[in-house]
Amino acid sequence: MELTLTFFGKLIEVAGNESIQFYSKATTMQELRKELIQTFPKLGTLTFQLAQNNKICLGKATIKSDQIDIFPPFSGG
Amino acid sequence: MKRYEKHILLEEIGLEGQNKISQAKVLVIGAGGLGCPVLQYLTAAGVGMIGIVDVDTICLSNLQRQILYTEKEVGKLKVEVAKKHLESLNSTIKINTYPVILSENNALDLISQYDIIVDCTDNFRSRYIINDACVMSGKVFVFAAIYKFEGQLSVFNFRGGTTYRCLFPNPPKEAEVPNCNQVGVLGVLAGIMGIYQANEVLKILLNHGNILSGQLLTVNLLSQKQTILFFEKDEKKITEIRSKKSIEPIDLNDCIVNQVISLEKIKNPKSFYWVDVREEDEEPKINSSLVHTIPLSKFLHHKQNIPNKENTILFCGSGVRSLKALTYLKNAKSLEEGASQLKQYLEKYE
Repeated sequence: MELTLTFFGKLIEVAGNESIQFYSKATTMQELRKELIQTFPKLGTLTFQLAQNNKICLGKATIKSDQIDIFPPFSGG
Repeated sequence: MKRYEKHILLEEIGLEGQNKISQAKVLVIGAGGLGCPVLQYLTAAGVGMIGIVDVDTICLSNLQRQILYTEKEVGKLKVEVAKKHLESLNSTIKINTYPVILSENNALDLISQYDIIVDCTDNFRSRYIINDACVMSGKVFVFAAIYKFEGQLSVFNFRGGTTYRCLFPNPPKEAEVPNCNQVGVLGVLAGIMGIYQANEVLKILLNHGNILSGQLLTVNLLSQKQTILFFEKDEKKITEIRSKKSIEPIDLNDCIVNQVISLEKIKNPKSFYWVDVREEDEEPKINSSLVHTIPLSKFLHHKQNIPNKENTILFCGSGVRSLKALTYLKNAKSLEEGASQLKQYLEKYE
């Protein structure tokens, strides 16, 4: 399925763009996470979370939306 | 109460609400980009007691966003300057200053004296310490963090609700943390996010509006897009933290903290160039060939005598003035302990 991925913070630099189209075979967030790391190996070294429908999904949640937000923790102050 | 009449006129606040604000005790950890606007608005609003935790001194590059400070105050301790300006804004409130680094050892004690904690720090280590200390002592804390043009905001541990660890269970690895001195940040971003934090503090005190608990607000100033992301409580993680007797050490040293070094981390004192920044008549004297003296009052003019900045450790009586000297010598380190402990340590070593 074709997903629209929206990146936040320094993940924008990793993905090269704030928003990209991404073809995925994943049915769960965990599988999507693996696919993302394969496509963007740098993500494998970073902490990030995934959200759909404005809800942060940890682990095995099923993908229900074609809009996914991907964000890291920020530390600046 | 005349000064608060615009608050009192609001039906949602009134005299009763203003009294709640006046009786509140709020601890602001970090008096930098986020901390300055938080402190100014909470002081203006009349929060009865405000604590400020920050070990840092003011440097010129702070002034782009840390709007409590002026050019004349470069080199001075942030907490002292902040207190002075805030007292001139509102002399009716009490302001306590803590020029210390927040650590696993002092966090619970500091936090226990306040009702609401505001996390205005600039590093993950402090953020996880604040989280765990607040969960253990049942205190609500208002979180914000910034990156370039983007900000995050949430309220954690509100009436036993979600915590920072429900969002990001563990601190990131050291390698993935950007050096805070190397990343640029838009000045007004810190201002906006800090004011949002002050707003959440007032809402909590007044028990009014939607408190951002279980919700992460993300703000992008370039697109002006704001999103609220909802997230769930991690009961297991919270129970685990609550059951601890003391705060577990956070194995991460990012930002200012990695410029402060503790004696227990030093294996061989001979591999360092030790600089005593105390004035010449101060006790105890340390008679060691490893130690060189450059008093803080002469530091700026004599610092070129230091051969290798990376291997230099500055120390003073308690670790406060050595941190001040660090602003003149960016790549050096500052000793966490004071001269007496160093003296004992060197005597034992030699």
